[in-house]
Amino acid sequence: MADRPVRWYILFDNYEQGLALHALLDEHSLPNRISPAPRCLKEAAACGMALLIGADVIESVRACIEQHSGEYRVILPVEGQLLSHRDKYC
Amino acid sequence: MADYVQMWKDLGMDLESHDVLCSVLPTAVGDVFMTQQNRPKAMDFWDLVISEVHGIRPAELIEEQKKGRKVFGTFCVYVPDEVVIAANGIVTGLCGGSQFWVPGGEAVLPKSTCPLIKASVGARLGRTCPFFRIADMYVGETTCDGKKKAYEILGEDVPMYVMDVPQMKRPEDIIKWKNEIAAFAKKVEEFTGNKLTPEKLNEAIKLVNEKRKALARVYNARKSECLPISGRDALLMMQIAFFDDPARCAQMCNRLADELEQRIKDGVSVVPAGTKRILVTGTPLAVPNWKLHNIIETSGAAVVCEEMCTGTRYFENLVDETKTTLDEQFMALSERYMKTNCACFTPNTGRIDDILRMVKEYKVDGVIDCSLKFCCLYDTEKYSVSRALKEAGVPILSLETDYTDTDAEQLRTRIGAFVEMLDG
Repeated sequence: MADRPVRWYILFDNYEQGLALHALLDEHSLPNRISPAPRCLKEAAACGMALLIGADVIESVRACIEQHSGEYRVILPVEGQLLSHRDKYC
Repeated sequence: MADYVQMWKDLGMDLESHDVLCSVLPTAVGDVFMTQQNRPKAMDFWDLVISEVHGIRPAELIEEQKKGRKVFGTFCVYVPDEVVIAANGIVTGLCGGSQFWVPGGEAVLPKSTCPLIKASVGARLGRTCPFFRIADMYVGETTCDGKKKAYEILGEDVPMYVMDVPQMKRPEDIIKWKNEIAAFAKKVEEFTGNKLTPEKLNEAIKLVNEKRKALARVYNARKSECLPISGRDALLMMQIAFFDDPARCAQMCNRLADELEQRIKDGVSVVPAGTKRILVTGTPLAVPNWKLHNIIETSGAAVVCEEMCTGTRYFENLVDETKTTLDEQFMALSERYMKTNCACFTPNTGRIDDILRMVKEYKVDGVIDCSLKFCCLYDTEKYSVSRALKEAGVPILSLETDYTDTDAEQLRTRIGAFVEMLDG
């Protein structure tokens, strides 16, 4: 598991929705980064932008979203998605 | 990026092929950028742009075209954006940085052409890049033979205007470039239907100068021993500067610079103390070419400066804002642009002076001089660059690469050994 950490992606209907949630999480000091939606989640994603959330804060993020009725499409985990030495460019 | 499908269809794009490109970009962005720790918060703007790279900005450009504005696609830092902006036009950079587009370019160009040119031609002819579809006119320039011939091919498919860049820097060459700028201005006036005035050109000069100052602020922060931003993030900022709105670019770069300056005050660095600092020089790194920076920065070093077109050559030197006639302003533009040290000039000793100056300014431990395959000009200059740096006692590694992944292991070995040598 340590070699293949799980990261969570929040997917959106459009980037405006994504930016609103990004602002909400920032406001509550919950770590999140704007990221392209991973290709493996293509079927679930409606827009190219996602929010990347670490496994250590996902429950706090969910709670914040619920409390503030934050809008999103779906939250999904991806295992071992990011590899700095993969050397697959485009 | 499903919400942009109709826009891409309307642009006549090949959606099936474009989807292949879309399938590889998120992985590369994830690997290169999302694996980094402690990135500046202000990078969220560029993270958004790259996440929606074929969506948000192209949609903005199309909206402006509906209002009657013209979009000019450019391939070189010698083309004066100010002239286009003064005529209410929009500039977007078009250099191709993806291997995905190279085979399309090779269909009409010799394989022994540099990948940047092949990718640019492939992006247009393959109909897989919205920016290449949107641009109403392409503006080329004579900075290398490969580009000159490629522009002839592109010119069969899209309105093309080529500026004749002098090859020397004598006083008469500065005047020659001024005349080229004046001729370009006439063409821009015709194409946009908008007359240039000294007032409008002065506004445009100030706008682009503000953008340059903002980019310079970010680079100045990289001079600090406490390194507040990675080379990969700075490169992404720079690459996107070529096709963003200039006022917003300046605003976002200033926002980033504010954060970086605060980080320096707070002692927040993205690398451990003692990490070796690398200056990269050579041919441009067009988006999404991140291979070299990623390999350097995952080999124990940090890139602190790029002496290249996607780097210091883009923002150093400002245009004189005090001139009041078009003739004087064209001369001021020429004087500024002719300070850019491109390998197409002979001699080009100014580039070596720049590198030696930047080695000191950015507290550089070693230089990597990297050119794209088949770029004869930069490849040849490696000899004099290497000699000058050795004389100055600065370690240097000369490399050649392209857009493929196939040499990544070889680059890792060579760069890893170079960094190890610097550590020793």
